[in-house]
Amino acid sequence: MANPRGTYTLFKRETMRFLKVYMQTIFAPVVNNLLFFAVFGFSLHKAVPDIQGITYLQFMVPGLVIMGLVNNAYQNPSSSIILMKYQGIIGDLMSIPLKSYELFIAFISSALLRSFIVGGVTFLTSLFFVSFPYTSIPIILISSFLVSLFFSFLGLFIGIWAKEFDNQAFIQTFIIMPLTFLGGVFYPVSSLPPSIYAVAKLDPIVHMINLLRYGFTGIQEISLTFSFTILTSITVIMGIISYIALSTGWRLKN
Amino acid sequence: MATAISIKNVHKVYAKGTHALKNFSLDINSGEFFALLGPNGGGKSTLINIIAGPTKKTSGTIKICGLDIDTHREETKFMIGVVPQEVNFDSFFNVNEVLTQCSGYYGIKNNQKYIDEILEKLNLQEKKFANTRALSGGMKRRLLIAKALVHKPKVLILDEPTAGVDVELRHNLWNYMRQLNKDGLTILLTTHYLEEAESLCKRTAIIDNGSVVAIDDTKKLIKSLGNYKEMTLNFKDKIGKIPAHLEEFKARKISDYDLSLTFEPKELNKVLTAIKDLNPSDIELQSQSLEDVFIELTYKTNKKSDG
Repeated sequence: MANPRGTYTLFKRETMRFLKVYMQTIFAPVVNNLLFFAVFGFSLHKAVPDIQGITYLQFMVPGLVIMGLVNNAYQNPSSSIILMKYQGIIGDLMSIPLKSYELFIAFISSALLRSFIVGGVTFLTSLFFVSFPYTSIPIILISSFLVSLFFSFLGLFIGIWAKEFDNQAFIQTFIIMPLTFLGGVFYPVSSLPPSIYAVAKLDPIVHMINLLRYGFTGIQEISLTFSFTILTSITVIMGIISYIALSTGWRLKN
Repeated sequence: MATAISIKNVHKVYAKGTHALKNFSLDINSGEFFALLGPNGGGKSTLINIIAGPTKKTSGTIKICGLDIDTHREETKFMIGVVPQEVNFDSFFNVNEVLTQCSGYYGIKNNQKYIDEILEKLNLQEKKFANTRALSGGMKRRLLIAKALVHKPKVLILDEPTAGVDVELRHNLWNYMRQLNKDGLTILLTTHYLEEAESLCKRTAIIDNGSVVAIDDTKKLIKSLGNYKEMTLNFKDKIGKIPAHLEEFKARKISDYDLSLTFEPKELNKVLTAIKDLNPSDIELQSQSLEDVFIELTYKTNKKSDG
């Protein structure tokens, strides 16, 4: 017995939750990105030579969009579920007549929406400062979708796993942020020494930025097929893991 | 009579080894107002959480209106409304939004008319657009009741619904629950207020250490330890020696000014004759209460398990 209205209601609840605190969830990341434009773009871009024929600002913007997608896709389900645990309403979530896949759809689709809003606003803001050749719009759309999907799955899993906000912050500060900054948002990873470059290719965010940067500007540091294969594989694996965690009630049910 | 909740041989062992429910069985009929009493940690909330969803049973079978919760989990959730013991609230939303969301989870669109009706019955209409954070403890509890009712369940499970609610409001809630039951809703109530069970529920089960230690008609259960009355006599002057002719009524001094007599109801005239010349300043007559039965039964079980 499917419950589409129930699924939509949970999606709406998850969405209203982040829209009610839009200062924190939408404006804050956009302001952060504007600060990156100001600091790295305007002050440094004249000192940094063009990279593979594009300006430093053109090089940097796809990375900033990825940061917006990553952080918001991750934070939406993880914060929501941990907060439910704090508020004692996680029992309500387990008591409503929604099947696991319906809960999954509601959480993931709301995370995707928030991710697209922040990623989209970051991109639109950048258009005041820079323009792009848009080499492949399908690659922009598909890679943005896969990036958001992967981090929505990860956020859902971390929300289920975490006992407190510290756990969520640990993953964000010590894993996601270093991988993002070392993933080539602000510099070409191919400029790294060969041994470090080989290790950097293990960072999934390198492949995410590689794809999106190609879509926007036409430059690529790693084979697109390889990056797509990596991104698709880890997204499918993370999707399966987070779905199993949700459907078995791991750390949600006694 | 159809069975609304059927619980057969349910065991629950938590990960840390606590055996919260031991071969627990219970049948509650459709339309019944049933009380489940028990001390803290007796297994009441575990049972309710298994029926509602947040807790998984280790073994056994539970059916709601004939449907097994293992094979018809979502269908059975549609039939149940649960008021949890812990007061919880979603701080992002106001009262009306919370209730609209609850309706939506159960597939109901445009439920505003019924939501308004429930808010009025529960005296929450003035707080319709107040954030849940701004509600008092009693209001939050009433909001939990409203949440459990928005989808018109067949079975309402109330886990200590009137804890922390003032006396007047508690009586209003009792009247509302009576009305809901009269309208056909099956109600399972757990409470610490034994007066609540005595006043509302036709049948009562007493649960202790994860098992049912007694189940019967509430009035019969009260009489099960022997039907007796207790009379307390208050005197203006200090009581000296207890008159010998009162010994047959198990006379004992409660204080220097109060004397207690215990007797069977048929002995009432005899007692009145016996106290005629004592000239008490006040007389109080009490029946045996459910509380006495509860203490007696749970005390017995604990003694057994201690031994």
